[in-house]
Formats: sequence, structure tokens, C-alpha cells
Amino acid sequence: MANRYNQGGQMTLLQQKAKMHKNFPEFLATWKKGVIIWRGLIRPTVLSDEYDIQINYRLGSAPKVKVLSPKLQRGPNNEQIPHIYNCGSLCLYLPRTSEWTPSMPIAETIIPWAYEWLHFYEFWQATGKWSGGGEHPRFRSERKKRHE
Amino acid sequence: MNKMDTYLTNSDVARDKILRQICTLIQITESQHALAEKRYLGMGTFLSSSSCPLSNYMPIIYPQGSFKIQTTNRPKGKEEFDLDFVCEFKSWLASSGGPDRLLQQFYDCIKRSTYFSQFAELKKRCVRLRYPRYFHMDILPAIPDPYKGGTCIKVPDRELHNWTDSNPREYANWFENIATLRQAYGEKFVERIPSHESAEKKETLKVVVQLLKRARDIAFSRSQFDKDLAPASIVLTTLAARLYQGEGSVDQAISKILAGILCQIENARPRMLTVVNPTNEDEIFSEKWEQNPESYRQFILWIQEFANAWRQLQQQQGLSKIKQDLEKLFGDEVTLSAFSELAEYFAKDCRNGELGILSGRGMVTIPTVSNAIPIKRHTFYGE
Repeated sequence: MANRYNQGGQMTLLQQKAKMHKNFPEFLATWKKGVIIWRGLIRPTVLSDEYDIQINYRLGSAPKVKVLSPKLQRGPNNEQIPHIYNCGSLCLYLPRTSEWTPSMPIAETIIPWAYEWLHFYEFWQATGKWSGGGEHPRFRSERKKRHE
Repeated sequence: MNKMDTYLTNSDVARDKILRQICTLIQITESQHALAEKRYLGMGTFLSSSSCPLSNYMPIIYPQGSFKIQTTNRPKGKEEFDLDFVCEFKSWLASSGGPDRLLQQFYDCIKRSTYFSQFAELKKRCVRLRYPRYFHMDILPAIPDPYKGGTCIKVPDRELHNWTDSNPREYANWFENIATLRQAYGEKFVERIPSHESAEKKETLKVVVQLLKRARDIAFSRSQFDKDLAPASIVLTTLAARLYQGEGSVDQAISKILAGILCQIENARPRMLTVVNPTNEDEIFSEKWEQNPESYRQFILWIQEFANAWRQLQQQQGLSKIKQDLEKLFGDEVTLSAFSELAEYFAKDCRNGELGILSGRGMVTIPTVSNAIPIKRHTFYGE
């Protein structure tokens, strides 16, 4: 349970939990071996589907956001879903940058980004185009190489 | 609606945004409209000039139908669209000659114009000016109605080689009054951001009429229906205006109008519904139904099908399912374009940092909801 307590600048799991409870009381939190698991239903906009999502967070590591239902679908021509990791969790920010750090409340970053991601995902399903911008690892590493 | 309601949080506003976008995509463009106006004004100048042999009969040309009431759609599957005009010869008396003579003389007159003659074709009851790839203007010669007076006119009848009744000017006034006044007294329905899209500002009734006509064109292009038996635009326009109750929401207005049409069909049984010109009751818009009962049967089938589809659409959740339903009604291409525009609009709000999240409500616009959690800048990552 040591990792529930404040370590340096990062927020503790209890602080994260309290913040989530304040901002999104509909998310239920459970604990499992040092990992906090939130689960809740979100509907990004009035016309959107409702999604059952789960966020797993181990102190100091990247929060993992997964959509449990409805199951995310590939595109009409079997296109891969954009901005998603192989394990099925959503790619919401640039890793190893300051876009997200453990000092930031999940309730004010990861959750709003998940809302946005899901709305762009619905538009992508409808139009075949991802309008939310973002970076692809391939292009990012190529760009890095050019700068080196 | 309150100021918190935007396309993100209010279903009517959201659906309206999509429907008005579809309307923008199916209507004639501003430049097409301007070109048509230029041609018709040019024709007016010619008709009143000394080179026009009929200028003594005090011709006056004016638009009628959809062009007059701003409900012209681009026809599906062809580039050219039809625009209807009336050329009323104010001092032509019935004794000056019958409709065939007036039509022939009108045609001969246009053929004397060095400019217009190249576009002119004589049709059964009008002269058509064809501007290939753009539009054609059907100009119906008319004379004032000597008995009814006012704006009532007599126009050549298609089949009988006789005069028949009409009153396009007063009809347009009747329609405009309903479109503007009923909405003014009805629900106020103003979106948060004034938009560049022209259909966004259009009166709800006009958008409804355009969508009804589009849905008819899509439905009657399917094998289940006979294209030649599709209900006339003027019938749909009149029914919609008669049943419109000032709703601000396009979605709600269509829903109530469809329910109203079904109700009128039931009330008319065992007879057929009759749709007359409300400003000249001798002009029966629905006469095709009397002449061919199959066209009435197909009209009922289509309205029933449309009303069911609309109910399903109103309950649908999820953008791609909503899009699929709209595609069936209004066509694939325009629906896709409308959703692409909406996606871009949403993306712009995101880029501008205008969005936030409110628990239990979903995404909201920050200026309207102060206690929302703003969406911080971030970059989606991954393949």
C-alpha cells in the first residue's frame, strides 16, 4: 500500500481517487494489487452511443483506458481503429512528454480526453476520416531522426 | 431551450445542425441563384423593350414556385435544375386570343431576341430557356383573371388548350407568411455560433420543404416506387405549410408534418385527400391523384415509410447509426458531406479549446457552462 502515498510531485492514488470522485462521481473505484480501477458509463454528446469504460492506474505508470462495451469496431473496410494501442487501450496523449505526468489529475486529463477520443471515433466510423489530429509513432520517430 | 443547449448537449440542436447541413448541400448555390436572377432580369428588360412585339400588352415577369420561396433543390442525378417563371401580360384580354395563341406569340417574340433565341424551346404550356449544365427557365405566359382580379391569373392548360387558374404571387405570400410569422411567434431556436452555412439561417419551414422534396426524390428513385408517380413539389410544399405550427426545430417540424399528413389521409377516407391552392381554390394541386389512383397509393406508402423511418431516426443513438438512417432518406453523398462538415466543426471547437466535460452531461462548450472541466491540450498518439 506504500504507493498510495505521495512520492515527489506525483499525486497519490488516494488523491487521484478523491479528485475522480469529486468530478465524476458516476465512476466507481476498486483496488487490486496497487492498481486503482475506475469503471463508468460515458456518453460524449447527446447523439453519441453510451460507452462502458475502464481506467486502470498504477502509481507512476501510464493510465490505461479501455472501452468494455460496445466493442470498438474496425472501419467499414476493415481499417484499423486509429490512435489505439495493440492491447486495446486508447492513445490519448504523447508518451514521454509533459502532456500527461503522474502529477496531473486523471479526472482533468485522461477522462476528458477519453470523451473527446470517443466522439472522434464515432465521426471516424461515420466518415472514414479521423478529424482529431494526433501523431503516429512511425512519423514521429522519422521526424526525430531527421532532427538528430 | 436555454443557453447551455448546444449541438453537443441538445438533441434537437444537434439533429438540426445535421439536417440544415444536408439542406445546404442539396440546394442551389448562391452563384447559381445569382446567375438565374441575372437571366430573368435580362428577360424582363427585353420584354419591356421596343424590340419586343408584345411589349404593348404590358408584360411583367416574376418567379414562381420554389425559386420564389427559396426552396429550390439541385435535382438528383442531373446537373440542370428547373426554375419557374410567369410572364403576365397585363393588358391581354381573353378576347385578344386564346392560350395557344398567346403561347405561340410569346415564343415568336423571344425568338426575335438575338440573345435569348438561341436558348428558347417551345413546350406544351410554356417557353423553356435552356442553359445547358446550369438550369432551364420555364416561362409560363399568363393573363390577369378578369373575374377574380387581384393577383389571380389564367395560364394555358397543359391538356385542354384552354385557360386554367393560378395565383403564384399570392401563394408565395401565403407561404412566406407562414414560414416567417409562425416561426416568429413559435419557438425561438438560435444556435450559439452564427454560421457561414446559408441554410442555418433559413426559416425552418423552407428547410423542411427542401428535405421533404429530397426524401421524395430518393424514395421514388428506388424500384419499389414509380418515379413518374412521385407527388408534385407543390403538393408537398402546400401540405407542409398547412401543417407547420412554428416549430424552430427541423426535426420536430418534419415529425409533426408527417403525422399531420397521415392524419389527413385517414380523415379523408374513403375519399382522397385534396390539396388546393389556398389562394385560388379553383387550382387543384392534387389532380394527378384523381386521375391516377395508383399515384395516391404510392404517396401514402411513401409517407408511411418516411414517418416510420423518422421515428426510428429520432430514437437512434450513435453517429454512424444516425448517418446510416439519414443516408437512406437523403442519399449517401450529401449525408457523408454533412457529417464531414460537422466533424470539422467539432474539431475546430476542440482546437480552440472551447470544450469541457460536465459530469452526467458529457461534452459542453466552456463559454456556456462555467463549472465544466476544460479539455487540456493533448495529442492523440498511436497508429
